[in-house]
Amino acid sequence: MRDKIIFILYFGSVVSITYIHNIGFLLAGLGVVALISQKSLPRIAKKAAIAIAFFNFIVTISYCTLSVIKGNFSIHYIALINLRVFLLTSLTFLVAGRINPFKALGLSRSILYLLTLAYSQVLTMQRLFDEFRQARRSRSIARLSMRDMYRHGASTGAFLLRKSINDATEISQAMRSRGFFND
Amino acid sequence: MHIPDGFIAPKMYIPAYAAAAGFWAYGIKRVKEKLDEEAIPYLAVLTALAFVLMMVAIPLPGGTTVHAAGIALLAILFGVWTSFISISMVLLLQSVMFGEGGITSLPINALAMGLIGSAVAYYVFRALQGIPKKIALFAAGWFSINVAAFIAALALGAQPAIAHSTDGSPLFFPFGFHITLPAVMVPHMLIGIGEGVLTVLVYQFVAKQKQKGEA
Amino acid sequence: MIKVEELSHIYNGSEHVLRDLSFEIHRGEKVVLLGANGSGKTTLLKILNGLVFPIKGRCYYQHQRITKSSLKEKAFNRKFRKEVVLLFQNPEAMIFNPTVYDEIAFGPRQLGANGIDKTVRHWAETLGLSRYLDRPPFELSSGEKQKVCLASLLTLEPEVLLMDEPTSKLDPRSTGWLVDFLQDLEVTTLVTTHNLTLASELGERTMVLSENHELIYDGEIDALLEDREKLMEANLLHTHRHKHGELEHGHFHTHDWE
Repeated sequence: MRDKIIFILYFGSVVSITYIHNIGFLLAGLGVVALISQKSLPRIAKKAAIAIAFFNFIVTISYCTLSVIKGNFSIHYIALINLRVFLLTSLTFLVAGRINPFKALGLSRSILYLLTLAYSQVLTMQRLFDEFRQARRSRSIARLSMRDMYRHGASTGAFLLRKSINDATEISQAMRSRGFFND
Repeated sequence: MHIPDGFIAPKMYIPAYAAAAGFWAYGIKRVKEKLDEEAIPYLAVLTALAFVLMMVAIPLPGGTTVHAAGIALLAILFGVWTSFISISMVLLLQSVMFGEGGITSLPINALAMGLIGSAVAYYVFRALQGIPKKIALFAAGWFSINVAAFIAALALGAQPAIAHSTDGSPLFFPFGFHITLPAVMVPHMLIGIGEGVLTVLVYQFVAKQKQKGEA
Repeated sequence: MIKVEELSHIYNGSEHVLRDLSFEIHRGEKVVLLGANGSGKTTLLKILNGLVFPIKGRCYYQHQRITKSSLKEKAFNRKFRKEVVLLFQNPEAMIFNPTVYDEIAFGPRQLGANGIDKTVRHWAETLGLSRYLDRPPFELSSGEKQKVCLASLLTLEPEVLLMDEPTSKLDPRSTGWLVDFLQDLEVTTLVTTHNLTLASELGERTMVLSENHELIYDGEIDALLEDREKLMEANLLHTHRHKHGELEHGHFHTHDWE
């Protein structure tokens, strides 16, 4: 229950923050996040900064260039957008580290099971995918041709596709065997 | 596309959530009807599949690579609703578990890539039955990416019009359609070619392996 | 040939997979790396193949340090990838070409070597793959796939052959064949296995990774086989109760064909 309540509070805060266009309030919000995160503050701030760096950098630079040309540059906008995006992303990382997302989002037994299973499957597939990529690197003496790159990507995709169909059958058999569908 | 939180106005993402929620409920119902007991394991595994398909690199001329989307493959092989739900789950896991992409841009991405991208891929492929399969698959891959990108560009480009302060300066994403459409669409027309080629190749690999298995 | 100094590696921020390893492998040596599942064998091979980079310590190939940046140098990368090759435990990860022939020819084609056709046919013949040359590799059994992968590495005429559990996908007959084959091969080899019996057949020198991810033995296999405590520590040996009719007793055991 705790996780669900925190998640609802989090979602409510995200929505509220997107209605705030006052820099002072956003700064205050950042202060609250800093206060709650305490020791993990540097880690959260760093993660958030990295996560938003690319998109915000491009938007900020293009905005500056275009608005200066057009003569409607607003420093308030630069501060507002970067501050808000940073606040929202920090808040997300703060909450993500403190709740069990499965408990928070698991509205029913089926959804909980689906999320957990999907997540563990993602980790397994990711590991396999990395293995394929490492094998490609290990075997690449020269830079691969585009043709070989496509071929490798396609055979990786096809392998994972075939594997997922086999796994799905196997998992449902295991679920049946353990009585998941009995009630 | 990973748009962080804070660029989309609530005027857009709240209705988008409402719309997406309706489609999620309907989509889950459709998947359950089709797969019955196997719905959960299938969705879980296909979510993982969609997740890694998005990690496959598409090489472009000049040595750069971009990530594939895999929408057309999922939609053609497993149907629009299964594809939509799996891609939505990927977006959810990415934003909640991996901190990629925001929770406010989630419904827009889910609708653009998951629902409309899948539907376009599926119906383009269906409409092109009769011509060589390669071309139909390529077109499905190309259109799925480009239609999804088009919708994302529209969503971003609408921000300054729907949310601005009294002096006219933007409050969320700052650029209108005249910038987002070319900036998003031009690269995607090229990326779509790579996605199309990959769709053809993976499909052929799977079909070959299937024939072998059934023989 | 290969030198490793004070090497440690960590996964997920805190979990050790390798702890403070130091060793050297000389040209022509045939080394077996023994360890229970999860002891860090695969990670060590991937580090030696320049795929994973250790958090601490150094790794050298022919006196040149293997790092992310040294492998970005084109000349060293080319030399290293040609001379140090890795047979992955899962052969599927390595296979992506349309035919067995193309798979085996993939390496030499990158080198732009002459006489590729002859080399490919030679190794296909040696490994018993000649009749599969025109078939897609994914159609083969996993044992055959592994042979295709091995052939595709040997066509490069490597200096160092790293093999990750090469017998895990083979039946006893093919395993016997592989042991003979490797003994005749004039290449420096490092083979991982958790199969104790096999270790004595595969190499003279044996290294053992403990479940604590430390190198607890490096020497002759015969002396290791006498050292029960060490084998128990590495979880390569266990005891359990046995029933022979009315008589019940416990003794040491290896379970090799799991």
